[in-house]
Amino acid sequence: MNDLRVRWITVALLAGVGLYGVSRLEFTNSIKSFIPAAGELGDLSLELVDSPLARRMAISIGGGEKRSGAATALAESLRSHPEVAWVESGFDEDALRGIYELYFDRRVYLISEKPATEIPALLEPAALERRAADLRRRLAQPDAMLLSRTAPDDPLGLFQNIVDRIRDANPALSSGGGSFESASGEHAIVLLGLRSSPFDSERQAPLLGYLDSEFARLNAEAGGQLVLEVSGINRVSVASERSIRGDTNFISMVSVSVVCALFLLVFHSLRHLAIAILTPLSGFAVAMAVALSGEDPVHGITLGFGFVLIGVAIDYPIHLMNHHALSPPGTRPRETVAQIRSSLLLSALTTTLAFIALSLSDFPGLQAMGTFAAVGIPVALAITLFSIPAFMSPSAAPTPAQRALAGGFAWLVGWLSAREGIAVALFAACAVIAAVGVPQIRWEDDPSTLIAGDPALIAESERVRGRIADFDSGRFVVGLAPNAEAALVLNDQIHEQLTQAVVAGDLEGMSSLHTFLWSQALQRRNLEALRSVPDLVDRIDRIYVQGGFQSGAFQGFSAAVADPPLAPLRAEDFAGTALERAIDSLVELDGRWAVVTYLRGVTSSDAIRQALSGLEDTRYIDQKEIVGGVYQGYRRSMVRVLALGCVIVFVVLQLRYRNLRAALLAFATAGLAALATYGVFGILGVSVNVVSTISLLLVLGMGVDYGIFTVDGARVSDRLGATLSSILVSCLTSVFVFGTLALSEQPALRAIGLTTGTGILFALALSPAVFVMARRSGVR
Amino acid sequence: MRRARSVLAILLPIVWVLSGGDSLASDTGGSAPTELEALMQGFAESGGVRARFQESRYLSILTDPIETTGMLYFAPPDRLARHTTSPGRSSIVIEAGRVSLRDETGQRVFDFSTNEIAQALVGNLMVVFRGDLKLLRERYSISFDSAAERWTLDLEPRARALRSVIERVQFVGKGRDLAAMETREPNGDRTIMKFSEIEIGFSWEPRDLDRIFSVDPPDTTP
Repeated sequence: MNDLRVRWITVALLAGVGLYGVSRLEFTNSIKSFIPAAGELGDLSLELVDSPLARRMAISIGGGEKRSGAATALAESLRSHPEVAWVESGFDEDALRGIYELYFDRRVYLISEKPATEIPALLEPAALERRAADLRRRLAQPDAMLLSRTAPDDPLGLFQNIVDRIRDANPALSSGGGSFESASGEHAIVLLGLRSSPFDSERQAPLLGYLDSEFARLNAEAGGQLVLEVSGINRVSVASERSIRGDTNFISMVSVSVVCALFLLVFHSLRHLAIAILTPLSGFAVAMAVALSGEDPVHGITLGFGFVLIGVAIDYPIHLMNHHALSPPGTRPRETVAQIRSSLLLSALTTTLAFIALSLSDFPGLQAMGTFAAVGIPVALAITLFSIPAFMSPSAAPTPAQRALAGGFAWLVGWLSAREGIAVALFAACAVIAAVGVPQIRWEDDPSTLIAGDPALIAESERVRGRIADFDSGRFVVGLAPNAEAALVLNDQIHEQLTQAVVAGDLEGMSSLHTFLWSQALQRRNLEALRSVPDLVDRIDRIYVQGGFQSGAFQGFSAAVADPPLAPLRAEDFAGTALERAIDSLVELDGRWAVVTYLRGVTSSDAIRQALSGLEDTRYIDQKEIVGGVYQGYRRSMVRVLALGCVIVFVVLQLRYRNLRAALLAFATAGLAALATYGVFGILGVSVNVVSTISLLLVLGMGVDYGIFTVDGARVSDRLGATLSSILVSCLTSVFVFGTLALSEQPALRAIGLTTGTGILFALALSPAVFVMARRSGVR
Repeated sequence: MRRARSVLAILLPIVWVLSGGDSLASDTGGSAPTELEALMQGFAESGGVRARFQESRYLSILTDPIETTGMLYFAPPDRLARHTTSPGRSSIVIEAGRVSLRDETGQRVFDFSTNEIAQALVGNLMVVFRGDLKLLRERYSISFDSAAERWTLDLEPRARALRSVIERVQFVGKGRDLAAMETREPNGDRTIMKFSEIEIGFSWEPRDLDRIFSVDPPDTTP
């Protein structure tokens, strides 16, 4: 097959695979698909990770008397935005009507959580006398004109107690009739719910832009004195993504420019760069097509890290092109391929096996990355061996830079050969750095530290959350039951236990469905307790008459007790009302029903677990603890995978060289570079995380490639300069592509850059020493 | 919380009664325009007003009325304060759509600027003191009778929603003095507020305005 045909076939295949991938491209950013099966607790946490609280925004407007009107207008404006699921800005007439219609005719069901004892106590003569006096006193208040409308049907104030209970659910939010206000009364508050995930920046960015522009318009109308402050995961998320994108654009520009300059300097051609990029690009395209051929979408993290890992393959064409340039003039590319084929095969084999080890991890995210990269590397090798030569010309004279590099390395190796102690010292220095630093390594297992949020935005969010005494979206209690009524019975008990925790000071507050809905069993017990008082009607009448009320004034109440107009309240009754969202915390999960209670101000997780210990199928969930544990597991698994990968690579090297010294030397570059990298981090106090550990796999992959090429180069007398200069170009390319990520402000990108940059530089520094020692050992 | 409770206590029954409103009444329009306009013009020119009030609330569920007494202040165009001194001390101040209340249970503030019913409920007296005949005609069908120096101004709400809360408001006066205001509700409850020691033409200093129109009532009347 001639080169032209190979080129066309390569391009056509790459285009076909790329189009297939793009046509099926469906990826997810959900953390759910990245967390392993963690038992019922973890599964529950996963199911509820996208909780209503996480999808909520709180908007605060301060700065003047017109804040309330602006908040109401802003709420009205936001209500029409397609990304906004709901808006609450105060007790509007719909909410009030909803409360009245749901509860007034059911007031006899919702009197007490302990009806057997509290209702008889409520109806004791002395208690009724106090109630009668209290009602008369309230009727004398300046705002009591309309209390007289409900009093005949509700002399005990049962409905007002229900309203108070709903209001007490968030004592920090008050309503000035127009809009919610913070407890201080200095800020108007608007709450809104998102239709999409707060991490879906594509949808969240336009909403945030709309919010800003609408506020700007309203503020201008109000004289420009108003101040907008917002709390929402989406705001921090969008800002972080902008920061990441900005970093990536800047770093890409820098790295592309420098790599172009490097290729121009070394090869006098950008065509070589285009050819080199074809290799990892092909590996990525095929791996992506394979990953997308299944039914499940690919995770964004898998794609990102998979691309980074397949980036190892850029070494292959660089080695090929540099060796080819330094070959005798007229050498055909495929002759150069034949010279280094065994090194390339061994490099790709060891790297693929290391990635296969990664795919054996217990963690789905690592499995996906390992499989992705393990598919991509052989493809990249195949492209290097069969396609890249078709794009190359017969060798001509090397460029001055190539000659200088080759000559320089030849001199360096000669110099080192005469001073082997320096080479040994280099190994010893890396070993000492590793021995001193690795034990000091500080692991960071909090995933939230991987993304740097804007401190100003976070502080603003905390201020707003403080104004509304917001609940912690990551801490909640879940009760599980076979049906909705059983879940509500359990929720009654959970509420009782958590109320005791509040009294004990272990908890600041909670947001419970119990505020709005009790089990039907409890509601019926309330009515039964009322009816069990034999002279209820006469007793109320007698005592209230003594308090100055007309005899027979409360017949409406008597009728409601004898025959309530409505059945006990059920979850279905909330459908279509202004309080519909109140039952969001009652959800069906795989045939079971879960009821969620959100918590605020947990002082002791153990105390909460202890408070719930007597309740079956009730779990306290701290998502931060769970996710932290998962990431810790990822990190440990990653370390195990690294160790396993090292063993596999070493075994393969031993099988290939059948010489322990050669295998050790080939492996030394990678092993020592990786250990010394973490040693440096340990000494300098740079914390490491799962991202830097994955990046270490990249260092191992490239380091082993350098080791193999170095040892193989040492076995051929005229390949010294070509081998080491290839490693230098490869190393510099990798440093500029990956290492420049260390400039990023984002911890995750910085971890990749620091780890790969440091590790690859160590590997480069060790390569001449390995060459000298391999040649001295007479490795063949 | 108490602030919200108060709002709910007022607004929830409004919502309740909205569902049971009665039929629409026609505008009787039987006022004597010249005399009524002259009267309202007189009110409009009265400036600040101070009066003692005695309120009797006749509720169908109570055997005897609830009696309260206190001082009433009005500063044009939109400030009204009612400081009750008996049986207990309480204050209600209406100012630019916001209502502030203080009683023995505490203080609360709420905004009625977006609720027309609530505005009508708490602001009728202020509208009359201001002499705002246009707004009265928008909200109510008006009947005005006068004989000798005595006059009667009857207001019947036009809006069904408001009519389900207030059946009729009647102002009674002599000359340019307002003697009483009676509010009747559809359920037969009624409130009569009688005024005495009426003084008009006040133009308070800003410091006095702050004291009067505060829910911390002044110990001595400025």
